[in-house]
Amino acid sequence: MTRDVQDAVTALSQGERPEPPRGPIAGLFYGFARGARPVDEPACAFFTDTSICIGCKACEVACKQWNQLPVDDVRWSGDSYDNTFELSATSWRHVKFIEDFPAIAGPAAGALPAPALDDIEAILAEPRTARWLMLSDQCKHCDDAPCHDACPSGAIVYTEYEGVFIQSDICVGCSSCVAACPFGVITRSEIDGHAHKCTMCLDRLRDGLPPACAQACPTGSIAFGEHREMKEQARERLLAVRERGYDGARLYGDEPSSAYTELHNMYLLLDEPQAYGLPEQPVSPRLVRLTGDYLRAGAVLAVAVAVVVVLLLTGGF
Amino acid sequence: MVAPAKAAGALLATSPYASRRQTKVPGWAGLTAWDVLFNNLSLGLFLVTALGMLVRPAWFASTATAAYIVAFVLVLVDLSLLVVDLGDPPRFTHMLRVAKRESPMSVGTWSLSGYAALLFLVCIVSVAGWEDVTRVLAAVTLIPAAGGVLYKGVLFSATSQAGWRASRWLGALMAESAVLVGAALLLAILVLSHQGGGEGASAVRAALAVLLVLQAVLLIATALEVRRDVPGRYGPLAGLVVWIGVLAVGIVVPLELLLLGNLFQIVAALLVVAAAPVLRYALVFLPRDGRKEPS
Repeated sequence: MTRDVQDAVTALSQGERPEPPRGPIAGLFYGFARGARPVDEPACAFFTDTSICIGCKACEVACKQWNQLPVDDVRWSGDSYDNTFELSATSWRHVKFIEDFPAIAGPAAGALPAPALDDIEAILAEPRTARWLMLSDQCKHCDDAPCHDACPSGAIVYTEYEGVFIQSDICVGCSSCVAACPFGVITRSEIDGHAHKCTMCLDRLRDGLPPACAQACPTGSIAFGEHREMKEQARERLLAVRERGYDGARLYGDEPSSAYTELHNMYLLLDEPQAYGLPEQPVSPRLVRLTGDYLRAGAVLAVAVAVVVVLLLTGGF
Repeated sequence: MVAPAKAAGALLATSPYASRRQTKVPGWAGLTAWDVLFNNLSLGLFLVTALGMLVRPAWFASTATAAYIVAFVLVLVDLSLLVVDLGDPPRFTHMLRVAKRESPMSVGTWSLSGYAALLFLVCIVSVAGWEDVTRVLAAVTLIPAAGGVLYKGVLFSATSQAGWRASRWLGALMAESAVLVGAALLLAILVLSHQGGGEGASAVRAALAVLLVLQAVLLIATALEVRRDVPGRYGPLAGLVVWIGVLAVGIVVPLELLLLGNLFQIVAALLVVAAAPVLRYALVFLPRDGRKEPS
């Protein structure tokens, strides 16, 4: 049992439960209370190897189960076998299906070519015309997260493991984080009005357990560990995949760019990021846009004020 | 793992995700558009009135108190809209637990809170008739008021949302537009208080004309920037109609009326204010571009 768990168990056994706010006045000041700063831990990260993901969605189920998230409306999307659609306030993991099947024209439209069942050699020799790629998506836990920058209440914090965590008891539901995220991860809940997303299973990490999704993944597609080790693992895996002929394979989020910092959730992709619904080059609004936009607005405001002052001094025309 | 059959990049044509929106649009909609309007009306009216009182106090002395009170009422409406627009309105005080310059919403929260509190004092001392104190307080209030004007456009442009993210002049457009609608509102107050023929109205009318030209330039610059990023929710033609409509009704016609002298200045001022919600609706709804989303 880790030290944190022992402390928590001791505190609970002694009746030291955190006091929730009582009444409207206490609620006004609840957000101003500060807890103790946690002890630093090694930076952690996910490495998702999409080349071995089988699309079983066990990670989605494990995430929902551990975090007690309600079931979503399960329907067919109409353009793939995916039936859980996207990340949301109640789906913090989502396995994307990218189905690349050949289009068939004529009377058999919509059907796949029938394999020659009587000749196994012929089947093996058939050209590979279809691909079915999967990507288990979730929060990228950005090193310098736009959602963290944009949050006006300080509800979004970095954990001791360098994950990005939303304190839902502080969140006011302003949606600034939703607007800022270039990956479309965060969503405001229709149930409680607060923003929600993957927590990197902070509670499990503090108890010495891996995130639920990583533990549930049957193929090892979702790896979790120290950031440095995950980077090494990702680079080794990239070399291995390229040796097998996947020249287009690439890592996503392992290195910072001039417009974005590195991610604590790296991916090995087999195709362009856009094919997986990821921005080719994510842009941090704070790093790239904020200062310039303020300066331009300030300059034009100064011009407008100068116009008013000059015409007040001259009496108009 | 099977051998790759297709070159990387071929999926871009067939992947359902390649044509899908990569970001989630925040729930900022009609309430937000009205919040932007009341923000601009209050701050613009205060800025122009305070500048008038600092530069030409004799011209605006009799209308300044009314203008300050109107500005205060408008900012109260704005603050109410901001709170109601939150996912959890009773928690609005949490916005004051931190101050973050990298968060436009935080800059706006602190600026508007400071502005509203100081403007309340300005109204009190102005009603009491303490002119010198009013001028000093109004000068101090200009600082948070400037913050309140500047953050609004940047709140949208410094995001990852389609349309807003492409516009580097959106913050400038909103800031200039605040001064513009403020000048129009002050002109209307001057006319309604039977000072439409005075020197104050003449100066404000001239300022309004110049600001309308500047607004047209910024509006065209913004439209050119965002048109590549947003195909248009209702198609390019409807988008064009909105932009041309705002240009015509909110800028060209009022400008023509202002150049005719003080005869139609109240109509011109009211047209500028009337076109203001349309522009703000168009800007706030920019990311809702109709790209494919899961149904």
